[in-house]
Amino acid sequence: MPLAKLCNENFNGVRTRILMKNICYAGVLAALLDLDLEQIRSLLAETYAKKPQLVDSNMKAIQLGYDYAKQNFSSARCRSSSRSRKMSKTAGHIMIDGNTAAALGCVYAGATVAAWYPITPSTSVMDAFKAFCDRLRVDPETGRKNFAFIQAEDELAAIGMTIGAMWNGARAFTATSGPGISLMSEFIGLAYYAEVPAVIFDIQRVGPSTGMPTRTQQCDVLAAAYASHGDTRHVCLFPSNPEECFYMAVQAFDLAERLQTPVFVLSDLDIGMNDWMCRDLKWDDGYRPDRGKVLGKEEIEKLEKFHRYLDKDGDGIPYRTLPGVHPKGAYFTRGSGHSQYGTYTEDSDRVSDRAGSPAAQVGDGEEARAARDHRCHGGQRHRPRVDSAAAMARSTKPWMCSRRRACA
Amino acid sequence: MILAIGQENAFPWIERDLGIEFDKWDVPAVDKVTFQSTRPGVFFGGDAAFGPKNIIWAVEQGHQAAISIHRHCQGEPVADRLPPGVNLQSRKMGMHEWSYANDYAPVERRLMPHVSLKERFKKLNIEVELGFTAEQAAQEVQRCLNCDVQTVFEAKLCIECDACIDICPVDCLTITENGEEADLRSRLKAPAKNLTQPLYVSVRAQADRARDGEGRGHLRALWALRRALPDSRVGHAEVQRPLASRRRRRARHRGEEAAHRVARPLNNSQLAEASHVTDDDSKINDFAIKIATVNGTGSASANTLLMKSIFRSGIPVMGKNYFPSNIQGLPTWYEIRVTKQGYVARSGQVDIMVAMNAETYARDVKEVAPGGYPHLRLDVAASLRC
Repeated sequence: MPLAKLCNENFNGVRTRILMKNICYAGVLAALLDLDLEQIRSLLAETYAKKPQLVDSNMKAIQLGYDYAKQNFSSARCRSSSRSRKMSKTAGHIMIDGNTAAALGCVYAGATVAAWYPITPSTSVMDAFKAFCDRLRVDPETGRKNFAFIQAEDELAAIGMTIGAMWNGARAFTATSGPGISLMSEFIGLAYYAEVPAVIFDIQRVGPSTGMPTRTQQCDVLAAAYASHGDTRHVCLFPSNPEECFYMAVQAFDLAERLQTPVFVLSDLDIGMNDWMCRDLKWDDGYRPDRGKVLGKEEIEKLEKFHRYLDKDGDGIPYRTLPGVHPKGAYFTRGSGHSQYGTYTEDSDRVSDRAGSPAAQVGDGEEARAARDHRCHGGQRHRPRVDSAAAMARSTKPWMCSRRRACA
Repeated sequence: MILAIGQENAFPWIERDLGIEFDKWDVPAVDKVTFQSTRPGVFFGGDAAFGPKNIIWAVEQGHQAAISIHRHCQGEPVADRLPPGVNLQSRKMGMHEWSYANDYAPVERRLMPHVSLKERFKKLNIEVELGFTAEQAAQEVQRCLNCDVQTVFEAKLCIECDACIDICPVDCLTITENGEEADLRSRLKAPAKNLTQPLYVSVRAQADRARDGEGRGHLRALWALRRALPDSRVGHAEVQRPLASRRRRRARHRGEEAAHRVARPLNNSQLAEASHVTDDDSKINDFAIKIATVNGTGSASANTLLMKSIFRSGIPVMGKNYFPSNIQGLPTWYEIRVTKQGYVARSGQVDIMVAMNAETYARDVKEVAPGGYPHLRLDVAASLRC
């Protein structure tokens, strides 16, 4: 099929010819598959709404290919048995890729800070987020942007900014891939230990190291689950299609702030960068972000002293404050071993002294046994993580049962 | 027709009374334009005509001789030749496409097998070069000597970088001030001997206007392209090949890589043979298209357009992009799968292949599902020259 000849005869300029040659085959396929030219025409008009002259040249190329194919390949011997026929199975569906859906989810979740370092295949999450924010988060009167969008100098800075922003009370996230998770490890450990929420999208690709940047794999599951060194374990969400990317993005923020810990959304290149047919995304306008246990000004005022890591409710989640709200709310954010009162300690008793926590005690006492035989509200038995004294400080973290709720 | 692949010219087998004149070196006198000897109907080309040069000359001479022979057979004057014409086709190679094709190929050079010294001492006038083995010959004939480069000049894109001037082996390009023809000719780098032949002149106005601040009237001639005629090639007997084409030549030596071993697209009758089209409904809204293109050529737009128009026709569809990595010039594949049920995984079978990438053509064409369901194997292959 002399595509080049057709294009050379009808278009000038080397670059134009190359582009038109590709559009031309779309016309050829349209002819072979009995596609509706009108659909194509209206699609072109939409795509190039801002540059109408491109619509004409593209449509011309399509027509060239279409006409040629119809003239030369429509004999019975050449007709393709692969054909299309109109259906109505796409009603109520959209075509979207996972990264765009995730970005949309971040917007709906109320994320206002996005920091990242570019890496295939996660960059398009950020590009989409920025595009959405430019449309939806700019004050129409003042032109003020209600979001912060920062390309950091590397992944370490990106996760640092994300954690800092979340610590400060904003909803922030970053998107990266396998190599980025490796780089972010220490910061992730800090967020985990100091109990600062963070949302991290890992759009997985083939590793290790640079691996194959444009091939899909799901190899970071363990790396994300245990990110950082020592005794860490994280909440991971696993979307299986772009639709779930949207919903889980929103859930990620709620979980991160409720549990005060990093949350990973483990998508992959195939979900993230390819267009899938998905059901229309649904949104309940009654949604309210779950900000977790955050003390307001009046509540802090009533306290004698605020302790950031004090497990008051016995559910393993202390209350946190946001900077600038009340002077009594200030605290030392500690990444080193600490007691409930936030003091540095290597003393296992003090570390384990968390009032009311069923999983905190070691030894043979009744409470300890209760801790070991702890049953969650779902009636499922599971062991709390009490492997070592050092782990005690973290053992008040709720075990994630299948219902993903903090166990009392 | 006698193909004489020898080491030196020797014509002991031509009787000297046939009307074929020989010159003082005992080689036939051959007309430079028609390649005819002094006896009508006998033509010489290659080493036998004007002594050893390179293969490209031999090919050209053979071509010219063929034209002469044809005219001779038609009873037309052999010396009549068509006027020279130029037919420019655009060939744009992206930077990476070009640099890949030009990579130095560190393969073993095929050495001409020689008779062993022992044999040579026994018989001093033995023919030393044995000729290539069949295998070597097969590899040698795949070498493209790339004598076909045709550059395209577009006035509005020119930045006067002088690269074309540097690389031109025959000095036929000149960047100079505009002027009347006679004036312009005096400033050509290599003036033409044949004044009836036109100069190709391209004029660039925009930048010059900005620089000189003058109105529309002041134009500068940008290139005066003097077409190289056979007579002007005298004196360029050993044309210094530009570096780029030498590298391209070496690149073609790659034996195993299929990159330049390209299958020919099927013609219509071959297609007809290959297809067994029935009115079987099984492939309605149930097929996979794979589109093989080059990254950076606008294929993504075309593919998305296609996929979305299928989607808007109410048919479940999915698209998956495969590419080695996002660098311009490298191959990329896009698979569109259409199913009534809305499957999102790859089908593992390609029903229609749109093969737009010469580099991967051979491999792409093989991927199309053979037999099985009646289907059409359609090679929508672009012309390889563009």
